[in-house]
Amino acid sequence: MKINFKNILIALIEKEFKSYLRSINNFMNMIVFMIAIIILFPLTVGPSEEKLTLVSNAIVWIALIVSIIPTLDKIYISDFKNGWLEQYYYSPLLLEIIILIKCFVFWFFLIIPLTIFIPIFSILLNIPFLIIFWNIIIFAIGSLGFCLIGSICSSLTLGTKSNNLISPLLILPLAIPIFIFGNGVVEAVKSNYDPLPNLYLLITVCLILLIISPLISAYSIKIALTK
Amino acid sequence: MTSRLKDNMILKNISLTRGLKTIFSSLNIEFLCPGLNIIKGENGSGKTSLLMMISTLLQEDRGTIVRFGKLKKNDWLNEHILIKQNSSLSDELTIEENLKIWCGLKGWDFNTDKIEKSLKNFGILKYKNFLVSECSSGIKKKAELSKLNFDESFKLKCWLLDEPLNHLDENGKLFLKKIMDKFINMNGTILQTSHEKKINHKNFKIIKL
Repeated sequence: MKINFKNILIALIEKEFKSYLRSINNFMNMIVFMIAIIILFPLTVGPSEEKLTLVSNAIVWIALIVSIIPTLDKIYISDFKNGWLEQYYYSPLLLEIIILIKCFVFWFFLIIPLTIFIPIFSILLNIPFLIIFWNIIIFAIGSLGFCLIGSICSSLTLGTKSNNLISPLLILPLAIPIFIFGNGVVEAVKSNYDPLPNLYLLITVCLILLIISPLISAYSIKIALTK
Repeated sequence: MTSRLKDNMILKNISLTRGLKTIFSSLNIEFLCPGLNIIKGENGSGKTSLLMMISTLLQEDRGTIVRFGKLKKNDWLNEHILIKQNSSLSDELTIEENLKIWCGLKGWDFNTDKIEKSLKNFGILKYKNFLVSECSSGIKKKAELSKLNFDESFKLKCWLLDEPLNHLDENGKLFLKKIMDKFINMNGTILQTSHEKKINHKNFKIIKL
């Protein structure tokens, strides 16, 4: 029988897009959570401008990461419950490739729109324009790494009854390289050094994850399906 | 077509365990190919596990499964459909979208006419724009079984149906029988689990677990 691989790609992207569009409250939750952190932080630190300049960049990053992590472990859970992961398993396309597409779609529709909020929050916290620019670049690249790490953790915890506790514990240690190199770029810009070496290292980490993550995820999804 | 008639499906000395429970030990079955195979057994006797194992979702511990000669795993995945007892439709999508995307994932053509025709035959065309979460279990079951009514589905080698008659009304059962007969006439093999006593098909084999 003739198999049309173009149809598989279109179907997959259409499904993911429609699912995210219909569960828009997940996205709104993320934004509300981010705004809450950004507003509460200056209130607790105090109105001194010196203190705020010292921590303002960290606040934006913490707000972004903390709001993303709860959604990361839910990449596969609804598909697992609905039986769609089984349909992916039966698809003529390799499960690894399907996972990679799923991660990209998740990143594109759910995480990339968040970058719009970085300049808004940064202006609120009086962060210089140059740093805002670099923050957007680092976040766009680093968040793909986060999605790929999220894919590993989400697939590993599919079979467990309560995955709420395990996932953040798995995600955080794996995400440390992204934090270090991402922060390295900003520190280099602040002290007028060349930020590119750290940026290249950040891209390297993401590229390594791009290879490893679909393989591990596909393997653990197959285990979860056949359990 | 003649080579397809020679193909058969045999389980040889199969044993399967799930967790600590042994489900089968030294199971030998030869299925009727082409034809309808009705798998009967008490609750928990392993009917669903048998279908999942044949469909490669479960891995047998020992023994061999001959799937239509020596079909490779990837070819086998493209040559059969497994319809499970619970619906595998996404709650966030409508019935039409679910079927459309399912066809797409199989690599088949998906157009609205094709899906509407299939839904119309099952008498659920008016529900096509309903979200799955809003539908009753009978409608979900009919939507699930509409997957069998596409032209491509009749070209496959095998259908694995896990209690397809659950939640179905009389019209649904009649239409399902019609498409099952059509598939068998086209040299297809059906493995169906069932608790029904009355079987309306002509050519069938009962397998007791």
